[in-house]
Amino acid sequence: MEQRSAATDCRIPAIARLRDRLAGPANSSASAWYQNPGDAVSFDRVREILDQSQDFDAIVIDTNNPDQAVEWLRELRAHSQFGHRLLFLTQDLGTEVAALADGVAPPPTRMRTDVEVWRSRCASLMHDGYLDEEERLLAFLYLRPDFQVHPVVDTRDQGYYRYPLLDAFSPSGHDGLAWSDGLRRARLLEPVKLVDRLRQCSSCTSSHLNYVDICTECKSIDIGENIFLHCYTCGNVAPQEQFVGRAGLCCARCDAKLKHIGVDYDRALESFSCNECSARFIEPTVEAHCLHCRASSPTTELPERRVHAFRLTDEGRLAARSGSRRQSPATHDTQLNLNSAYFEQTLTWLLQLRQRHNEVQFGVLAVRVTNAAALIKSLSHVRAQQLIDSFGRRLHEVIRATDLVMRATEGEWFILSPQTDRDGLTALRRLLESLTVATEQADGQRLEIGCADVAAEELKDLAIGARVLLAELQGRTV
Amino acid sequence: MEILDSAWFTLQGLVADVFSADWAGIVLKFFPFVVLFELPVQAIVMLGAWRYHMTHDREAVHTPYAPTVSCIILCYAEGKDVIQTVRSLTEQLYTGHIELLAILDGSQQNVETYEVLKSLLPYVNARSNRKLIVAPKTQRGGRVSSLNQGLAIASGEIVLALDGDTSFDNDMVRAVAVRFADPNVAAVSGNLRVRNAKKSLTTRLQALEYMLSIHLSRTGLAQFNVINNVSGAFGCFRRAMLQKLGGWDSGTAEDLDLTLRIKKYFARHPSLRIEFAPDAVGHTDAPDTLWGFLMQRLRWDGDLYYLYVRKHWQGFRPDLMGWPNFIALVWSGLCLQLFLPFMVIVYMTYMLFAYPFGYVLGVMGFVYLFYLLLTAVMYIEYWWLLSERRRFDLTFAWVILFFPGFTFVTRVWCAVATLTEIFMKQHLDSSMAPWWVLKKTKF
Repeated sequence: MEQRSAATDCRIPAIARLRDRLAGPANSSASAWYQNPGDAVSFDRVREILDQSQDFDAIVIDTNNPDQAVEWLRELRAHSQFGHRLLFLTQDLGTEVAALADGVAPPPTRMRTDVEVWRSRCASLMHDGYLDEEERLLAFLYLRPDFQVHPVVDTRDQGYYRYPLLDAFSPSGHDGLAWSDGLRRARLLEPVKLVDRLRQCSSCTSSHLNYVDICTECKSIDIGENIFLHCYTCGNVAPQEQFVGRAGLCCARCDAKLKHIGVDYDRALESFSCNECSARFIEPTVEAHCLHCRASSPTTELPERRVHAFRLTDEGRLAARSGSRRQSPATHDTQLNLNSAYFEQTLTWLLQLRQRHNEVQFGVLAVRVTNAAALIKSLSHVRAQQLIDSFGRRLHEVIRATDLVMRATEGEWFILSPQTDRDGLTALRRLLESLTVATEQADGQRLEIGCADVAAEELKDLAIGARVLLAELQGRTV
Repeated sequence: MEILDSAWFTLQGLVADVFSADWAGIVLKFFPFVVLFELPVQAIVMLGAWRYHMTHDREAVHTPYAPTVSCIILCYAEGKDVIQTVRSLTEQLYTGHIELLAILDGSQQNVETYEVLKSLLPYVNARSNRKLIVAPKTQRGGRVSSLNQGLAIASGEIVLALDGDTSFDNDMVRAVAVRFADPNVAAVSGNLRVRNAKKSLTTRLQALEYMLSIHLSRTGLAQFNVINNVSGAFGCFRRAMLQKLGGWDSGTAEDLDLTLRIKKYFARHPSLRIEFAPDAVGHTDAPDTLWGFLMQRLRWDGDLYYLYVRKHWQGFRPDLMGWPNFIALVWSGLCLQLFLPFMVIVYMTYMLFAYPFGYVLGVMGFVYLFYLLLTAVMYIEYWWLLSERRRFDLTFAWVILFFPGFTFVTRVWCAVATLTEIFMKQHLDSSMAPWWVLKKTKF
């Protein structure tokens, strides 16, 4: 493990300087010392640092161009070796850069202390070997006790907010926002501060919405505000211009002179009119028009998204130290789904028990939502997600209190049911299928599930191993 | 029975005399004061109204002249009634800017009015050409203090002094502003109607009185530039003129006082005018009981003596006011308004002692008939030539029957008011201002 070698080495801090030759001289006083770097090695490209054999404790990004800084930081953070290193800037370059870096480079003495603290924390990491993205992220946060994962505004982004750090660490194509939800559900991250509350398009989850007032009758956006008068003599309600004569106001219908407001006439409550269907109304309806998918929704039906700044939880810290989320001390998530490591371990234990004692009985059942893609297409992403989540919650209501559940992916669950034979499994399967009836929509669509199960007595090879057994069941649900 | 027979006989004889054309005899015998004082004034009024009708173009109200108009709204304990005033000013058809200055006198005791005014701020200020400023005066200072406060913060070229319980037709400001396009117009008197006209016989009689003595009379008098008063509930002034005059003077009847002070410029500046705008209509509440009405008149009529005799006696000079206004003031102000009521009482008393009661009744019946005829003729002229609400005004035609009696009571009461003022200095005890303010006046 690279960081262990760095941490155990008591040499003076090895600092690399990544210099943007196109940028002008840095103007920050904090970086002044760095203009004459001394023992720092200078590079022009990230690739040069990655390719050479020397290891660095810290890299100073010397540019005044935020786009360049972001590009370099993303490249370094995504790298398995340099991802969690101290990356300093020579000046403040805005929120997105700040979300990825470790701040502006401190003076040399402070930097030395920083590096030493960082090294000692590295030494407390207890794992070796390959780390996946999630584990690297946890390690990164563990090495920086006060670090917070901050969202930044990105007007080009459909969700309006992004987590640059999560984006940099996440596997390609993985949405940082969705990842933060998963990490929070797994109790590895916790919210520190509510940054914003956004209304999303109920169809495509975009937060780029245009709130527009429309005609209450024909829903046209071609409406206008008008002053309407109400003649008390004949009850005529019409736009003010129809009442204006040369000598003053005069009703177009009954010819009454309208001299005194409140006595001869008054302003009608209606103050809007539709230029398409000529309807008059007191208040227009407000609708949210999605600027991405053009879908229209009533403002009352827009799902809300809460955007938080996150920090590592105690469970997350322990998981980071042990190097694996599978060894996270959190036994279950917020929906009472068991941690995969525990689930697998329990299954392994039962398999082994069965090998020795034939009377040990259990059943394993895999459930999968088979029509998730079709639901997202016909309903909306949010609505489909809500349906799947509610199925996940209802699932816990029909199983026995002693059954164990593990949610493998968004639409996949495993149920381990002790003391359950073939009949019991079939009954459970029927119960789960009955749950989908409640998910039926107005257009007749409902959640469809595929199940695969096995009872202990049906297993030919008990030494198969938990992981393989689960994978096999998973394959049969397709 | 005998008395009534005698009265009927006398009346018949007098009517027969009319038809036998013994005019001079009747006139000189029974009502010389009518011939000398009243008829010429009414004749001038009716002639003027006719002239106005012939020269005024009813449709010509559109003019590019649209200066900022500041409306000083005098508020006291109107409460929710002030909403109607503010609304009617906000909803004016006038295209220029209107500044509404709601001056609340004694805001400490009139909290409700203050709250109502504050609640109107968003409604008025949402309009592009309207602005409401609420100026609360914690300590009550009276009408004049409010008016001068309003003048101090007014920014409009034209300043309107309005009562908080008076509402206006939507073309009022337009009708007023158009008069000020003539730089010689120093002030414009607005036309007042009784808002609660149909509430009681008293208000109906006052409504008819307003039609004849404000609408018809001032239209006629304005033709000769001899308007008697610019009403305090609805007066319009050029701000520059008001500032030159130093604003309103303390004491009661500040409206008549200001009118007289403007008139004192007339001799040196013969082209200066005080106009009347019959088409600028305000609606105000009149007392709806006879007692309430009498109390109001006791104040108003008493103020006439205070103003004419105590305060402005020195100013009754043709070289200050010019001959037309001097004559008009002496004639209608001093003779008709102050002197005639006493004449009526003296004449009545004399008749009662010198002639049999039946005869007196007959003569009074004849006089009543005469006034009935005069009122009817004036009403017809008003209705035909001036009324902008003919259908409404027609419903007051039957009130004419009671009007001569109402006028008689008013006349007699005027004498009482004058006596009260002479002997009790009524003007120092007015509800229009606190005593410690009124005490400051020199008169």
